Amino acid sequence: MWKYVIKRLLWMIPVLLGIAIVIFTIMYFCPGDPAAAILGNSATPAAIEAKRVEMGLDRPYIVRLLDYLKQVFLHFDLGASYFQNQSVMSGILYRLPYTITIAVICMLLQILIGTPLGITAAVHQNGFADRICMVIALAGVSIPGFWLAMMLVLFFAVRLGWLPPYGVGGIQYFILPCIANAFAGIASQARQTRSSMLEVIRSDYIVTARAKGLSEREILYKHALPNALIPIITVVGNGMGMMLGGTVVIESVFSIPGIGMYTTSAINNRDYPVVMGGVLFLGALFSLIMLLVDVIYAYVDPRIKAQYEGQQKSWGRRKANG
Amino acid sequence: MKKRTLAIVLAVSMMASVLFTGCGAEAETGAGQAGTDEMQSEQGEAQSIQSGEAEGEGTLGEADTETAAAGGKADSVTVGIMADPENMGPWSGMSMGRIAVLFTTYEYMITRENGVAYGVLAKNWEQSDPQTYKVEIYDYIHDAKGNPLTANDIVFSFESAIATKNYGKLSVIDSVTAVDDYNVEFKFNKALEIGEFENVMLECAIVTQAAYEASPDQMATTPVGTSAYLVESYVPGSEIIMKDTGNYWQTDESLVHGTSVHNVGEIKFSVITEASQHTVALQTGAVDISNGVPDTDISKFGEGGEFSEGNAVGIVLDNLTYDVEYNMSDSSVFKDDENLRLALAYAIGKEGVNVGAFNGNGKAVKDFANATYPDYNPEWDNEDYYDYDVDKAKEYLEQSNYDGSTLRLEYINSGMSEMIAQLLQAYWGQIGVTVELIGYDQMMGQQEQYNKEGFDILVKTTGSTDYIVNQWKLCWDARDYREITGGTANFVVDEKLDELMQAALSTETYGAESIEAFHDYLVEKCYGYGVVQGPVNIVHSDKIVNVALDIRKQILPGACSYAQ
Repeated sequence: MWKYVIKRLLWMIPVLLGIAIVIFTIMYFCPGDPAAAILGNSATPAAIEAKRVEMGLDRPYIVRLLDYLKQVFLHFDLGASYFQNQSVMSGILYRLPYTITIAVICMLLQILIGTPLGITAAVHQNGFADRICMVIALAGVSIPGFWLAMMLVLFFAVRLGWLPPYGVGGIQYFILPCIANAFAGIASQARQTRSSMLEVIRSDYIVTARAKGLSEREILYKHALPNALIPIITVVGNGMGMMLGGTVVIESVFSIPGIGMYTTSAINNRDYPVVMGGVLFLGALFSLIMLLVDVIYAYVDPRIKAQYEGQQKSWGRRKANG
Repeated sequence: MKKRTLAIVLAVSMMASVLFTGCGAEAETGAGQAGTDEMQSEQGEAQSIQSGEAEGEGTLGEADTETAAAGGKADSVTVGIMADPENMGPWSGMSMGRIAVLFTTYEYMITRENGVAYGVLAKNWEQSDPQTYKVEIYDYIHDAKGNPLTANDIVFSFESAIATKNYGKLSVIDSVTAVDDYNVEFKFNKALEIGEFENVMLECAIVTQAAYEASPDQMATTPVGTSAYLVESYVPGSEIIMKDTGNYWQTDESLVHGTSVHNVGEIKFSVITEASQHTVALQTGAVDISNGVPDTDISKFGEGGEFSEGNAVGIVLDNLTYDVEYNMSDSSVFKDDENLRLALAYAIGKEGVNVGAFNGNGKAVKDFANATYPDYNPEWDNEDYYDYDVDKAKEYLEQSNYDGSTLRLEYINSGMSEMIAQLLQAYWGQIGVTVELIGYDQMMGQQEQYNKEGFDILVKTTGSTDYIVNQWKLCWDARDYREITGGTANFVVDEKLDELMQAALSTETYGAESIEAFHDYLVEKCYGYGVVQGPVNIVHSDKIVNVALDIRKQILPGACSYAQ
């Protein structure tokens, strides 16, 4: 198993290299000029050109790309922001806790609410509970996050005055953003859980379990749910990745200084090092989460663990045979 | 059973929608009712700001800072700002977030009020020869941490700012030398033009070398200026808290000007990136003052508005003008077709644009620039400036070579430019000219405005903080653009225009005559023209009695006056 994990970690290197080249190329060809952004609207073309030269933006594509790759992969340095006089890594690390907090709370809400909703819907297929759950799920995937966010602000912050409308501070500042951000995830989770559970519930071994006289509770939680977990874990993993990268709207609406806002502000200002560093960091994080999901698969389903180990053995045999 | 389930679900949905829309519906109704009354209130409030501002020269907009000498003080104030400064270092260029906090953090050599320059750190200054100025600074200046400031610190600040290449206006400096502890000599690489010396003095934030070198991050998060305020805490992207040190260096109150007034003990700048959240923040009392409230929400805070209790609205005219510039490059349809240029100019109802884009709170302009400047000629207000005349526009169009092809109108798709572009498209459609809109984000727009193949007409905002000629310069001074465009910013190659522009800018020939000559020539040629001047909407709680603004129309919380 460990060999599998190490192999996957090594595979991350070419993946990140690919991301770095793609994002650098996109930013290089993206119209707009960070020098102009720094100097402001009234800057003359001559002043902008002088600044471009000073920033090294006049150098050819390939020279700048190779410099960037060397800096990132040999010196492990994501560079410094054009605007903030601060290294990109420290900027990211400063903002990461805000984004992680939102992502983790949303993920917990997604699992703790979405999964029971899905199970309830599956168990009561076509019944009243199923329809209620699916209406909630449909609403969740249909309602845009920014609209829900503003409605929550109007109701809980403006009308009731219970929660702060924006900003950061104690846990109360995260309640509205997390609800707004998690709603779609809860819906997806419920729909996926229902679909997986329905598939498993119809399996022969569930019929056998019932025939053996096991209680419905035991059948559900001991036999059905563990076998339905794989697609559910996939949704959770993808959701975590999406939430890390996709909190942009929520962070903007609630003025939360997370990675999403850091990166979008950098895109608007053409702060290339921050955009590239942010994307690369999120790429690495997403790869790690996917690896974690794969590892969890192995622990949830012994067949997958055996498959991983089988791959390692056949790989070892091929190596031994030359 | 199914029907009953469906009925229950529908009932729950209806209840939920009624509950949610209840909040919004009330707001909508209130806003609608507020309409007319609220405008009067806004005007009244604006006049109170304007009358305060206008005391010096009697012209709207000339007073950029309103010192609140007669006003009371407050313990704290929270200001909503649209963007994070990101880097509060003294010489890190310009951004929306930075300009909101700069004057509270740093002081400059001079300040400008009512179009007049006053010394802040500079005690006095004189011109030795066309390219040399000598500036004397006060001999008792110290920064917010108590470090004394001398001429060497002025040299250090200017040299550091020049080295960053972040300030184009400083490129005219040849050298800065400390003559003695409190006298500095500035040598320039050319004879300065009108307003240029003041602009140089206003461009560089001054800090002590000792404080700068003691800062671990070049003051990015821990700025120390000579203002009365020192940063207490900074949460990047969220808030900045500044506190009055109680140890401001200028003890002679009569010498403390707008940007240096410190009427409040603690200033909290709250970063609110979403415009609608500025409305919510004011509604809930989370902030005391903001200039980020969307135009559509302003009426809610005016008299009769649903949030008028405890709040007030102030509207002042911005120093920015929305201009139309024709692409005058060789391949452009406008190059040799004055009739087409005039046809489009006469087809625009400027007052209609003002109402459509700004609810009438802006002002139709009568020049490429607006009436805010001290050197604006008020007589222009009574002259014909392509005044809306559809028949005349159609006549010019008939005489033009326009072949019915679609013209491309380029604009920056932020703020009100998009709305103005749409209104222009509609006006030009009235006379049979088809216009395609091409919107770019700020960065792309800055680049694409010099692409002569990319557009036919450009809508741009331009503005200066001093004289009208310096707003004209932003488009019409070919010396700044020739390398890229071959002429002015919009590709005009016209020697007479160049001569008139330079005459208006030169300190030797600057005056009513040269200004009039340039204005008349530009009106005659119609290479471009101003359309409308936008408003700055400021909503504040009744804790604030008078609002003070800096030269860029940013709120100066320290200089506001507060209810006792």
